[in-house]
Amino acid sequence: MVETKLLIVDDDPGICETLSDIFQESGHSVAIASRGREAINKAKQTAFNAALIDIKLPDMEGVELIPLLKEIHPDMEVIMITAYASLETAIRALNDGVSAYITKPLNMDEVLPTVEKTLGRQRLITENRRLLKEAQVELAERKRAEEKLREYSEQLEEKVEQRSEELKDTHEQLVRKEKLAVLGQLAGEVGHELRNTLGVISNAIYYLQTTLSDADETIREYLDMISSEVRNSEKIISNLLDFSRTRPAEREEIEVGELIAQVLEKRPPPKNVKISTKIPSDVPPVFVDSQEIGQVLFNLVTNAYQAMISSSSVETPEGGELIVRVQAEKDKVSLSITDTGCGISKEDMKKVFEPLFTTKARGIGLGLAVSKNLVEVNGGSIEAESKEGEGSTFTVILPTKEVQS
Amino acid sequence: MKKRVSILIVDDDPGMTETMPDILGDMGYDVAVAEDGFKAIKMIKERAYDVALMDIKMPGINGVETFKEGKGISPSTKVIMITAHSVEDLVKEALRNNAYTCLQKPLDMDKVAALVGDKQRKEISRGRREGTLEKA
Repeated sequence: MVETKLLIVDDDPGICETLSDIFQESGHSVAIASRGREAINKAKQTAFNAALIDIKLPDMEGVELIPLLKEIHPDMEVIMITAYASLETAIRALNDGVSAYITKPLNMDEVLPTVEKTLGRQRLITENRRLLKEAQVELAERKRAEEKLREYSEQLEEKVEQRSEELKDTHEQLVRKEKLAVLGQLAGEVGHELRNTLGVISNAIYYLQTTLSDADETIREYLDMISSEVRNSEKIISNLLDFSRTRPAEREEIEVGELIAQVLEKRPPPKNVKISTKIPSDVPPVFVDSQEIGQVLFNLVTNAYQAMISSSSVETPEGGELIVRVQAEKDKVSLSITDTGCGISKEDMKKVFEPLFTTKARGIGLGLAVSKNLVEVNGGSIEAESKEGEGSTFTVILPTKEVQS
Repeated sequence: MKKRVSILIVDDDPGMTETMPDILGDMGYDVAVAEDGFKAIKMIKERAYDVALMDIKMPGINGVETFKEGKGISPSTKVIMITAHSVEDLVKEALRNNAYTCLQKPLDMDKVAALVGDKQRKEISRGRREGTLEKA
Protein backbone atom coordinates (compact mmCIF):
# COMPACT_ATOMS: atom_id res chain seq x y z
CA MET A 1 0.00 0.00 0.00
CA VAL A 2 1.20 3.47 -0.78
CA GLU A 3 1.98 5.54 2.27
CA THR A 4 0.01 8.72 2.63
CA LYS A 5 2.07 11.79 3.42
CA LEU A 6 0.58 14.53 5.48
CA LEU A 7 1.89 18.00 6.24
CA ILE A 8 0.79 19.74 9.43
CA VAL A 9 1.31 23.49 9.44
CA ASP A 10 0.70 25.03 12.87
CA ASP A 11 2.73 27.10 15.25
CA ASP A 12 1.21 25.33 18.23
CA PRO A 13 3.58 22.44 19.04
CA GLY A 14 0.90 20.80 21.13
CA ILE A 15 -1.53 20.54 18.25
CA CYS A 16 1.20 19.41 15.90
CA GLU A 17 2.22 16.64 18.25
CA THR A 18 -1.34 15.49 18.89
CA LEU A 19 -2.23 15.38 15.20
CA SER A 20 1.07 13.76 14.31
CA ASP A 21 0.45 10.99 16.84
CA ILE A 22 -3.05 10.32 15.57
CA PHE A 23 -2.00 10.16 11.93
CA GLN A 24 1.10 8.07 12.48
CA GLU A 25 -0.96 5.63 14.47
CA SER A 26 -3.30 5.39 11.49
CA GLY A 27 -0.32 4.55 9.27
CA HIS A 28 0.29 7.93 7.67
CA SER A 29 3.65 9.63 7.45
CA VAL A 30 3.67 13.09 8.88
CA ALA A 31 5.78 16.22 8.48
CA ILE A 32 5.41 19.31 10.61
CA ALA A 33 5.98 22.96 9.79
CA SER A 34 5.38 25.81 12.19
CA ARG A 35 5.47 28.54 9.57
CA GLY A 36 4.26 29.13 6.02
CA ARG A 37 7.78 29.44 4.59
CA GLU A 38 8.85 26.22 6.20
CA ALA A 39 5.75 24.49 4.82
CA ILE A 40 6.60 25.65 1.30
CA ASN A 41 10.16 24.40 1.63
CA LYS A 42 8.97 21.00 2.84
CA ALA A 43 6.39 20.78 0.11
CA LYS A 44 9.12 21.40 -2.42
CA GLN A 45 10.91 18.29 -1.18
CA THR A 46 7.97 15.98 -0.59
CA ALA A 47 4.78 15.40 -2.50
CA PHE A 48 2.21 15.56 0.28
CA ASN A 49 -1.20 14.15 -0.19
CA ALA A 50 -2.74 16.60 2.15
CA ALA A 51 -1.83 19.59 4.28
CA LEU A 52 -3.55 20.57 7.52
CA ILE A 53 -3.05 24.27 7.82
CA ASP A 54 -3.77 26.49 10.80
CA ILE A 55 -5.75 29.47 9.68
CA LYS A 56 -3.37 31.78 11.47
CA LEU A 57 0.37 31.36 11.00
CA PRO A 58 3.13 33.56 12.36
CA ASP A 59 4.38 34.63 8.92
CA MET A 60 1.19 34.59 6.84
CA GLU A 61 -2.47 33.85 6.76
CA GLY A 62 -3.31 30.18 6.33
CA VAL A 63 -5.37 30.95 3.23
CA GLU A 64 -2.40 32.76 1.70
CA LEU A 65 -0.41 29.58 1.97
CA ILE A 66 -2.98 27.50 0.07
CA PRO A 67 -2.29 28.81 -3.48
CA LEU A 68 1.47 28.69 -2.81
CA LEU A 69 1.28 25.03 -1.88
CA LYS A 70 -1.17 24.22 -4.67
CA GLU A 71 1.26 25.76 -7.08
CA ILE A 72 3.78 23.12 -6.04
CA HIS A 73 1.32 20.21 -5.78
CA PRO A 74 -1.95 20.93 -7.55
CA ASP A 75 -3.48 17.73 -6.27
CA MET A 76 -2.68 18.36 -2.67
CA GLU A 77 -5.75 18.43 -0.46
CA VAL A 78 -5.99 21.20 2.09
CA ILE A 79 -7.72 20.94 5.42
CA MET A 80 -7.97 24.13 7.42
CA ILE A 81 -7.60 24.11 11.19
CA THR A 82 -9.71 26.90 12.59
CA ALA A 83 -10.82 28.09 15.96
CA TYR A 84 -13.95 29.66 14.53
CA ALA A 85 -16.14 27.23 12.82
CA SER A 86 -18.44 29.82 11.46
CA LEU A 87 -20.32 29.38 8.25
CA GLU A 88 -18.45 32.31 6.77
CA THR A 89 -15.13 30.66 7.46
CA ALA A 90 -16.30 27.43 6.00
CA ILE A 91 -17.53 29.01 2.78
CA ARG A 92 -14.41 31.11 2.36
CA ALA A 93 -12.21 28.15 3.02
CA LEU A 94 -14.02 26.04 0.45
CA ASN A 95 -13.75 28.83 -2.12
CA ASP A 96 -10.05 29.04 -1.51
CA GLY A 97 -9.56 25.43 -2.50
CA VAL A 98 -9.95 23.91 0.90
CA SER A 99 -11.46 20.46 0.99
CA ALA A 100 -12.48 20.43 4.63
CA TYR A 101 -11.82 22.01 7.92
CA ILE A 102 -11.38 20.90 11.47
CA THR A 103 -11.97 23.00 14.53
CA LYS A 104 -9.92 23.85 17.53
CA PRO A 105 -9.94 22.62 20.12
CA LEU A 106 -9.47 19.37 18.35
CA ASN A 107 -12.29 16.91 18.48
CA MET A 108 -10.52 13.60 18.02
CA ASP A 109 -13.67 11.85 16.84
CA GLU A 110 -13.87 14.38 14.05
CA VAL A 111 -10.24 14.81 12.96
CA LEU A 112 -9.43 11.37 11.65
CA PRO A 113 -12.66 10.74 9.70
CA THR A 114 -12.36 14.17 8.10
CA VAL A 115 -8.80 13.56 7.02
CA GLU A 116 -9.57 10.04 5.84
CA LYS A 117 -12.57 11.27 3.91
CA THR A 118 -10.44 13.94 2.25
CA LEU A 119 -7.73 11.47 1.44
CA GLY A 120 -10.33 9.09 0.09
CA ARG A 121 -11.66 11.82 -2.13
CA GLN A 122 -8.15 12.53 -3.32
CA ARG A 123 -7.52 8.89 -4.04
CA LEU A 124 -10.71 8.82 -6.08
CA ILE A 125 -9.65 11.91 -8.00
CA THR A 126 -6.22 10.48 -8.60
CA GLU A 127 -7.68 7.17 -9.59
CA ASN A 128 -10.14 8.90 -11.88
CA ARG A 129 -7.40 10.89 -13.46
CA ARG A 130 -5.29 7.77 -13.91
CA LEU A 131 -8.21 5.95 -15.47
CA LEU A 132 -8.95 8.89 -17.70
CA LYS A 133 -5.35 8.98 -18.81
CA GLU A 134 -5.38 5.24 -19.42
CA ALA A 135 -8.59 5.56 -21.35
CA GLN A 136 -7.11 8.36 -23.40
CA VAL A 137 -4.02 6.30 -24.11
CA GLU A 138 -6.16 3.34 -25.00
CA LEU A 139 -8.37 5.49 -27.16
CA ALA A 140 -5.36 6.90 -28.96
CA GLU A 141 -4.01 3.40 -29.45
CA ARG A 142 -7.33 2.20 -30.75
CA LYS A 143 -7.47 5.13 -33.12
CA ARG A 144 -4.01 4.31 -34.35
CA ALA A 145 -5.02 0.68 -34.74
CA GLU A 146 -8.16 1.68 -36.59
CA GLU A 147 -6.11 3.90 -38.86
CA LYS A 148 -3.69 1.06 -39.50
CA LEU A 149 -6.56 -1.30 -40.14
CA ARG A 150 -8.07 1.11 -42.60
CA GLU A 151 -4.73 1.47 -44.35
CA TYR A 152 -4.30 -2.28 -44.46
CA SER A 153 -7.77 -2.74 -45.77
CA GLU A 154 -7.14 -0.16 -48.47
CA GLN A 155 -3.87 -1.82 -49.39
CA LEU A 156 -5.58 -5.17 -49.34
CA GLU A 157 -8.27 -3.94 -51.67
CA GLU A 158 -5.62 -2.56 -53.96
CA LYS A 159 -3.72 -5.82 -53.83
CA VAL A 160 -6.82 -7.88 -54.44
CA GLU A 161 -7.66 -5.71 -57.40
CA GLN A 162 -4.14 -5.99 -58.75
CA ARG A 163 -4.09 -9.74 -58.18
CA SER A 164 -7.48 -10.15 -59.85
CA GLU A 165 -6.17 -8.23 -62.82
CA GLU A 166 -3.11 -10.47 -62.95
CA LEU A 167 -5.24 -13.57 -62.64
CA LYS A 168 -7.45 -12.37 -65.44
CA ASP A 169 -4.41 -11.79 -67.61
CA THR A 170 -3.00 -15.19 -66.72
CA HIS A 171 -6.31 -16.81 -67.44
CA GLU A 172 -6.55 -15.10 -70.81
CA GLN A 173 -3.01 -16.13 -71.58
CA LEU A 174 -3.81 -19.70 -70.61
CA VAL A 175 -6.89 -19.75 -72.77
CA ARG A 176 -4.88 -18.32 -75.64
CA LYS A 177 -2.12 -20.85 -75.05
CA GLU A 178 -4.58 -23.69 -74.79
CA LYS A 179 -6.25 -22.64 -78.00
CA LEU A 180 -2.90 -22.42 -79.72
CA ALA A 181 -1.89 -25.76 -78.25
CA VAL A 182 -5.03 -27.44 -79.56
CA LEU A 183 -4.58 -25.71 -82.88
CA GLY A 184 -0.93 -26.70 -82.86
CA GLN A 185 -1.71 -30.30 -82.05
CA LEU A 186 -4.26 -30.44 -84.80
CA ALA A 187 -1.86 -28.75 -87.20
CA GLY A 188 0.80 -31.22 -86.15
CA GLU A 189 -1.38 -34.24 -86.80
CA VAL A 190 -2.47 -32.89 -90.16
CA GLY A 191 1.10 -31.99 -91.05
CA HIS A 192 2.38 -35.46 -90.29
CA GLU A 193 -0.34 -37.11 -92.28
CA LEU A 194 0.35 -34.77 -95.18
CA ARG A 195 4.00 -35.74 -95.06
CA ASN A 196 3.01 -39.33 -95.64
CA THR A 197 0.89 -38.28 -98.58
CA LEU A 198 3.62 -36.03 -99.95
CA GLY A 199 6.04 -38.90 -99.51
CA VAL A 200 4.03 -41.01 -101.92
CA ILE A 201 3.49 -38.15 -104.38
CA SER A 202 7.17 -37.36 -104.29
CA ASN A 203 8.05 -41.02 -104.92
CA ALA A 204 5.60 -41.18 -107.80
CA ILE A 205 7.08 -38.07 -109.42
CA TYR A 206 10.59 -39.39 -108.91
CA TYR A 207 9.59 -42.56 -110.70
CA LEU A 208 7.94 -40.66 -113.53
CA GLN A 209 10.90 -38.31 -113.86
CA THR A 210 13.22 -41.30 -114.14
CA THR A 211 11.12 -43.29 -116.56
CA LEU A 212 10.05 -40.28 -118.62
CA SER A 213 13.52 -38.77 -118.84
CA ASP A 214 13.23 -38.65 -122.63
CA ALA A 215 9.64 -37.41 -122.76
CA ASP A 216 8.96 -34.07 -124.43
CA GLU A 217 9.93 -30.85 -122.78
CA THR A 218 6.47 -29.86 -121.57
CA ILE A 219 5.95 -33.14 -119.74
CA ARG A 220 9.32 -32.84 -118.04
CA GLU A 221 8.57 -29.21 -117.20
CA TYR A 222 5.27 -30.20 -115.61
CA LEU A 223 6.90 -32.97 -113.62
CA ASP A 224 9.47 -30.49 -112.35
CA MET A 225 6.62 -28.17 -111.43
CA ILE A 226 4.88 -30.84 -109.36
CA SER A 227 8.16 -31.76 -107.78
CA SER A 228 8.92 -28.19 -106.77
CA GLU A 229 5.39 -27.70 -105.41
CA VAL A 230 5.81 -30.83 -103.30
CA ARG A 231 8.99 -29.30 -101.88
CA ASN A 232 7.12 -26.06 -101.15
CA SER A 233 4.36 -27.95 -99.40
CA GLU A 234 6.95 -29.83 -97.39
CA LYS A 235 8.45 -26.50 -96.30
CA ILE A 236 5.07 -25.20 -95.20
CA ILE A 237 4.41 -28.37 -93.26
CA SER A 238 7.81 -28.15 -91.60
CA ASN A 239 6.97 -24.62 -90.46
CA LEU A 240 3.64 -25.80 -89.18
CA LEU A 241 5.27 -28.67 -87.30
CA ASP A 242 7.93 -26.37 -85.87
CA PHE A 243 5.15 -24.16 -84.65
CA SER A 244 3.27 -26.98 -82.97
CA ARG A 245 6.25 -28.82 -81.60
CA THR A 246 6.91 -29.13 -77.90
CA ARG A 247 10.46 -30.44 -77.82
CA PRO A 248 12.47 -28.78 -75.06
CA ALA A 249 15.41 -26.71 -76.25
CA GLU A 250 18.79 -28.47 -76.07
CA ARG A 251 20.94 -25.53 -75.10
CA GLU A 252 24.70 -25.23 -75.25
CA GLU A 253 27.25 -22.45 -75.55
CA ILE A 254 27.86 -21.36 -79.11
CA GLU A 255 29.51 -18.37 -80.81
CA VAL A 256 27.03 -16.02 -82.46
CA GLY A 257 29.41 -15.51 -85.36
CA GLU A 258 29.39 -19.24 -86.02
CA LEU A 259 25.59 -19.35 -86.04
CA ILE A 260 25.45 -16.47 -88.50
CA ALA A 261 28.09 -17.98 -90.75
CA GLN A 262 26.19 -21.28 -90.88
CA VAL A 263 22.97 -19.53 -91.82
CA LEU A 264 24.59 -17.37 -94.51
CA GLU A 265 26.21 -20.46 -95.93
CA LYS A 266 22.90 -22.26 -96.04
CA ARG A 267 21.13 -19.17 -97.34
CA PRO A 268 23.56 -17.20 -99.50
CA PRO A 269 22.41 -13.73 -100.60
CA PRO A 270 20.71 -13.32 -103.94
CA LYS A 271 22.28 -11.14 -106.60
CA ASN A 272 22.26 -7.41 -105.82
CA VAL A 273 22.16 -8.03 -102.09
CA LYS A 274 25.27 -7.04 -100.23
CA ILE A 275 25.96 -8.44 -96.79
CA SER A 276 27.90 -6.69 -94.07
CA THR A 277 28.43 -8.18 -90.64
CA LYS A 278 29.54 -6.23 -87.60
CA ILE A 279 30.57 -8.69 -84.93
CA PRO A 280 32.95 -7.44 -82.22
CA SER A 281 35.59 -9.99 -81.23
CA ASP A 282 34.86 -9.84 -77.50
CA VAL A 283 31.26 -11.06 -77.71
CA PRO A 284 30.68 -14.00 -75.35
CA PRO A 285 29.08 -17.19 -76.67
CA VAL A 286 25.32 -17.49 -76.33
CA PHE A 287 23.58 -20.30 -74.45
CA VAL A 288 20.95 -21.59 -76.88
CA ASP A 289 19.78 -24.55 -78.93
CA SER A 290 21.91 -23.88 -82.02
CA GLN A 291 19.52 -25.69 -84.33
CA GLU A 292 16.54 -23.69 -83.15
CA ILE A 293 18.23 -20.30 -83.14
CA GLY A 294 19.84 -21.20 -86.47
CA GLN A 295 16.36 -21.66 -87.83
CA VAL A 296 15.25 -18.32 -86.42
CA LEU A 297 18.15 -16.56 -88.13
CA PHE A 298 17.41 -18.49 -91.30
CA ASN A 299 13.82 -17.19 -91.21
CA LEU A 300 14.93 -13.60 -90.54
CA VAL A 301 17.56 -13.64 -93.28
CA THR A 302 15.10 -15.18 -95.74
CA ASN A 303 12.53 -12.50 -94.93
CA ALA A 304 15.15 -9.79 -95.33
CA TYR A 305 16.21 -11.08 -98.76
CA GLN A 306 12.58 -11.28 -99.83
CA ALA A 307 11.95 -7.71 -98.67
CA MET A 308 14.78 -6.54 -100.90
CA ILE A 309 14.17 -8.56 -104.05
CA SER A 310 10.45 -9.19 -103.94
CA SER A 311 9.04 -8.65 -107.41
CA SER A 312 5.48 -8.33 -106.19
CA SER A 313 5.76 -4.58 -105.82
CA VAL A 314 6.89 -2.12 -108.42
CA GLU A 315 8.22 0.26 -105.80
CA THR A 316 10.31 -2.40 -104.16
CA PRO A 317 13.99 -1.80 -104.68
CA GLU A 318 15.74 -4.57 -106.53
CA GLY A 319 18.53 -5.51 -104.19
CA GLY A 320 19.97 -3.76 -101.18
CA GLU A 321 22.07 -4.36 -98.13
CA LEU A 322 21.73 -6.82 -95.30
CA ILE A 323 23.47 -5.70 -92.14
CA VAL A 324 24.10 -8.10 -89.27
CA ARG A 325 25.07 -6.39 -86.03
CA VAL A 326 26.08 -8.15 -82.84
CA GLN A 327 26.48 -6.45 -79.51
CA ALA A 328 27.26 -7.78 -76.04
CA GLU A 329 25.05 -6.62 -73.20
CA LYS A 330 24.90 -7.67 -69.57
CA ASP A 331 24.32 -11.48 -69.56
CA LYS A 332 22.99 -11.10 -73.07
CA VAL A 333 23.93 -10.74 -76.67
CA SER A 334 21.83 -8.73 -79.06
CA LEU A 335 21.83 -9.70 -82.69
CA SER A 336 20.10 -7.52 -85.23
CA ILE A 337 19.39 -8.13 -88.89
CA THR A 338 18.68 -4.99 -90.88
CA ASP A 339 17.53 -4.86 -94.48
CA THR A 340 17.04 -1.97 -96.84
CA GLY A 341 13.93 -3.52 -98.31
CA CYS A 342 10.30 -2.53 -98.65
CA GLY A 343 9.68 -2.19 -94.90
CA ILE A 344 6.53 -2.99 -92.97
CA SER A 345 3.54 -0.68 -92.56
CA LYS A 346 2.59 0.51 -89.08
CA GLU A 347 -0.62 -1.47 -89.28
CA ASP A 348 1.19 -4.69 -90.16
CA MET A 349 3.88 -4.12 -87.54
CA LYS A 350 1.37 -4.88 -84.79
CA LYS A 351 0.76 -8.31 -86.23
CA VAL A 352 4.12 -9.48 -87.55
CA PHE A 353 4.63 -12.02 -84.75
CA GLU A 354 1.07 -13.30 -84.81
CA PRO A 355 0.59 -16.78 -86.19
CA LEU A 356 -1.06 -17.03 -89.59
CA PHE A 357 -0.36 -13.39 -90.43
CA THR A 358 1.41 -12.88 -93.73
CA THR A 359 1.80 -10.31 -96.47
CA LYS A 360 3.51 -12.75 -98.79
CA ALA A 361 1.62 -14.18 -101.72
CA ARG A 362 3.04 -17.57 -100.76
CA GLY A 363 3.36 -18.40 -97.15
CA ILE A 364 1.15 -19.30 -94.28
CA GLY A 365 2.41 -16.69 -91.85
CA LEU A 366 4.19 -18.89 -89.37
CA GLY A 367 7.83 -17.92 -89.90
CA LEU A 368 7.98 -15.07 -87.40
CA ALA A 369 5.53 -16.70 -85.00
CA VAL A 370 7.74 -19.79 -84.97
CA SER A 371 10.83 -17.60 -84.59
CA LYS A 372 9.33 -15.78 -81.61
CA ASN A 373 8.41 -19.09 -79.98
CA LEU A 374 11.86 -20.53 -80.55
CA VAL A 375 13.64 -17.44 -79.24
CA GLU A 376 11.45 -17.44 -76.14
CA VAL A 377 11.96 -21.11 -75.31
CA ASN A 378 15.66 -20.33 -75.49
CA GLY A 379 15.28 -17.63 -72.86
CA GLY A 380 15.55 -14.75 -75.31
CA SER A 381 13.33 -12.13 -76.87
CA ILE A 382 12.74 -10.72 -80.31
CA GLU A 383 11.55 -7.35 -81.54
CA ALA A 384 10.99 -5.59 -84.82
CA GLU A 385 11.44 -2.06 -86.09
CA SER A 386 10.54 -0.88 -89.52
CA LYS A 387 9.91 2.10 -91.73
CA GLU A 388 7.82 1.54 -94.79
CA GLY A 389 9.89 2.01 -97.91
CA GLU A 390 13.17 2.16 -95.99
CA GLY A 391 13.64 -1.26 -94.47
CA SER A 392 13.31 -3.30 -91.29
CA THR A 393 15.42 -4.40 -88.37
CA PHE A 394 14.74 -7.55 -86.39
CA THR A 395 16.64 -7.79 -83.13
CA VAL A 396 17.09 -11.04 -81.25
CA ILE A 397 18.30 -10.89 -77.65
CA LEU A 398 19.90 -14.15 -76.49
CA PRO A 399 21.15 -15.20 -73.06
CA THR A 400 24.86 -15.89 -72.59
CA LYS A 401 24.46 -18.41 -69.85
CA GLU A 402 21.84 -20.48 -68.20
CA VAL A 403 19.34 -18.35 -66.31
CA GLN A 404 16.95 -19.76 -63.77
CA SER A 405 13.51 -19.20 -65.13
CA MET B 1 28.16 -62.67 -110.94
CA LYS B 2 27.73 -59.65 -108.73
CA LYS B 3 25.10 -60.20 -106.08
CA ARG B 4 22.30 -57.61 -106.07
CA VAL B 5 21.83 -55.66 -102.86
CA SER B 6 18.62 -56.82 -101.16
CA ILE B 7 16.33 -54.25 -99.60
CA LEU B 8 13.31 -54.83 -97.37
CA ILE B 9 10.76 -52.02 -97.34
CA VAL B 10 8.67 -51.98 -94.15
CA ASP B 11 5.80 -49.51 -94.31
CA ASP B 12 2.07 -49.65 -93.65
CA ASP B 13 1.36 -46.99 -96.31
CA PRO B 14 0.33 -48.73 -99.57
CA GLY B 15 1.52 -45.71 -101.53
CA MET B 16 5.00 -46.32 -100.20
CA THR B 17 5.01 -50.09 -100.58
CA GLU B 18 3.99 -49.61 -104.18
CA THR B 19 6.32 -46.82 -105.27
CA MET B 20 9.46 -47.78 -103.37
CA PRO B 21 9.91 -51.21 -105.03
CA ASP B 22 9.36 -49.65 -108.46
CA ILE B 23 11.97 -46.96 -107.94
CA LEU B 24 14.55 -49.08 -106.15
CA GLY B 25 13.85 -52.03 -108.43
CA ASP B 26 14.59 -49.85 -111.46
CA MET B 27 17.81 -48.80 -109.78
CA GLY B 28 18.80 -52.44 -109.77
CA TYR B 29 18.12 -53.44 -106.18
CA ASP B 30 16.44 -56.64 -105.11
CA VAL B 31 13.39 -55.31 -103.26
CA ALA B 32 10.87 -56.99 -100.97
CA VAL B 33 7.98 -55.47 -99.04
CA ALA B 34 6.41 -55.97 -95.60
CA GLU B 35 3.23 -54.11 -94.62
CA ASP B 36 3.85 -54.36 -90.91
CA GLY B 37 6.44 -55.20 -88.28
CA PHE B 38 5.34 -58.78 -87.65
CA LYS B 39 5.53 -59.63 -91.32
CA ALA B 40 8.93 -57.93 -91.52
CA ILE B 41 10.33 -60.02 -88.65
CA LYS B 42 9.04 -63.17 -90.27
CA MET B 43 10.69 -62.21 -93.56
CA ILE B 44 13.99 -61.33 -91.87
CA LYS B 45 13.96 -64.77 -90.26
CA GLU B 46 13.75 -66.28 -93.72
CA ARG B 47 16.33 -64.08 -95.33
CA ALA B 48 19.12 -61.76 -94.14
CA TYR B 49 18.44 -58.59 -96.12
CA ASP B 50 21.33 -56.23 -96.76
CA VAL B 51 19.23 -53.15 -96.05
CA ALA B 52 15.88 -52.47 -94.39
CA LEU B 53 14.00 -49.21 -94.90
CA MET B 54 11.77 -49.12 -91.85
CA ASP B 55 8.89 -46.75 -91.23
CA ILE B 56 8.84 -45.84 -87.55
CA LYS B 57 5.14 -45.31 -87.06
CA MET B 58 3.19 -48.43 -87.85
CA PRO B 59 0.20 -50.06 -86.22
CA GLY B 60 0.81 -53.15 -84.11
CA ILE B 61 4.56 -53.18 -83.60
CA ASN B 62 6.38 -49.95 -84.36
CA GLY B 63 9.45 -49.60 -86.52
CA VAL B 64 11.89 -49.29 -83.67
CA GLU B 65 10.67 -52.48 -81.98
CA THR B 66 10.72 -54.24 -85.30
CA PHE B 67 14.22 -52.97 -85.96
CA LYS B 68 15.51 -54.16 -82.58
CA GLU B 69 14.02 -57.58 -83.01
CA GLY B 70 15.15 -57.83 -86.63
CA LYS B 71 18.67 -56.86 -85.66
CA GLY B 72 18.76 -59.74 -83.21
CA ILE B 73 17.87 -62.09 -86.02
CA SER B 74 20.04 -60.56 -88.71
CA PRO B 75 22.79 -58.38 -87.24
CA SER B 76 24.28 -57.64 -90.64
CA THR B 77 21.17 -55.90 -91.98
CA LYS B 78 21.61 -52.12 -92.26
CA VAL B 79 18.51 -50.42 -91.03
CA ILE B 80 17.48 -46.94 -92.21
CA MET B 81 14.60 -45.59 -90.19
CA ILE B 82 11.97 -43.48 -91.96
CA THR B 83 9.43 -41.21 -90.38
CA ALA B 84 6.81 -38.65 -91.26
CA HIS B 85 6.38 -37.77 -87.62
CA SER B 86 8.44 -35.92 -85.10
CA VAL B 87 8.80 -39.00 -82.96
CA GLU B 88 12.12 -37.85 -81.61
CA ASP B 89 12.25 -40.27 -78.72
CA LEU B 90 11.81 -43.16 -81.10
CA VAL B 91 14.39 -41.74 -83.51
CA LYS B 92 16.88 -41.37 -80.69
CA GLU B 93 16.18 -44.86 -79.43
CA ALA B 94 16.69 -46.25 -82.92
CA LEU B 95 19.97 -44.40 -83.41
CA ARG B 96 21.14 -45.46 -79.96
CA ASN B 97 20.52 -49.05 -81.01
CA ASN B 98 22.72 -48.62 -84.07
CA ALA B 99 20.13 -47.84 -86.69
CA TYR B 100 22.17 -46.57 -89.62
CA THR B 101 20.34 -43.26 -89.95
CA CYS B 102 16.91 -41.75 -89.90
CA LEU B 103 15.26 -40.04 -92.88
CA GLN B 104 12.17 -37.92 -93.05
CA LYS B 105 9.29 -38.26 -95.50
CA PRO B 106 9.00 -37.21 -98.23
CA LEU B 107 12.17 -39.11 -99.12
CA ASP B 108 14.84 -37.73 -101.38
CA MET B 109 15.27 -40.88 -103.44
CA ASP B 110 18.71 -39.86 -104.76
CA LYS B 111 19.84 -39.62 -101.16
CA VAL B 112 18.28 -42.99 -100.33
CA ALA B 113 20.04 -44.54 -103.29
CA ALA B 114 23.33 -43.02 -102.24
CA LEU B 115 22.93 -44.26 -98.66
CA VAL B 116 21.90 -47.75 -99.67
CA GLY B 117 24.42 -48.10 -102.47
CA ASP B 118 27.55 -46.49 -101.10
CA LYS B 119 27.21 -47.79 -97.63
CA GLN B 120 26.16 -51.16 -98.84
CA ARG B 121 29.08 -51.62 -101.17
CA LYS B 122 31.45 -50.86 -98.40
CA GLU B 123 29.56 -52.75 -95.74
CA ILE B 124 28.90 -55.90 -97.67
CA SER B 125 32.55 -56.73 -97.80
CA ARG B 126 33.12 -55.64 -94.23
CA GLY B 127 30.03 -57.43 -92.96
CA ARG B 128 31.04 -60.63 -94.66
CA ARG B 129 34.50 -60.41 -93.25
CA GLU B 130 33.54 -59.57 -89.70
CA GLY B 131 29.89 -60.43 -89.48
CA THR B 132 29.30 -57.24 -87.56
CA LEU B 133 27.61 -53.95 -88.14
CA GLU B 134 29.40 -50.67 -88.36
CA LYS B 135 28.17 -48.11 -85.96
CA ALA B 136 26.44 -45.16 -87.60
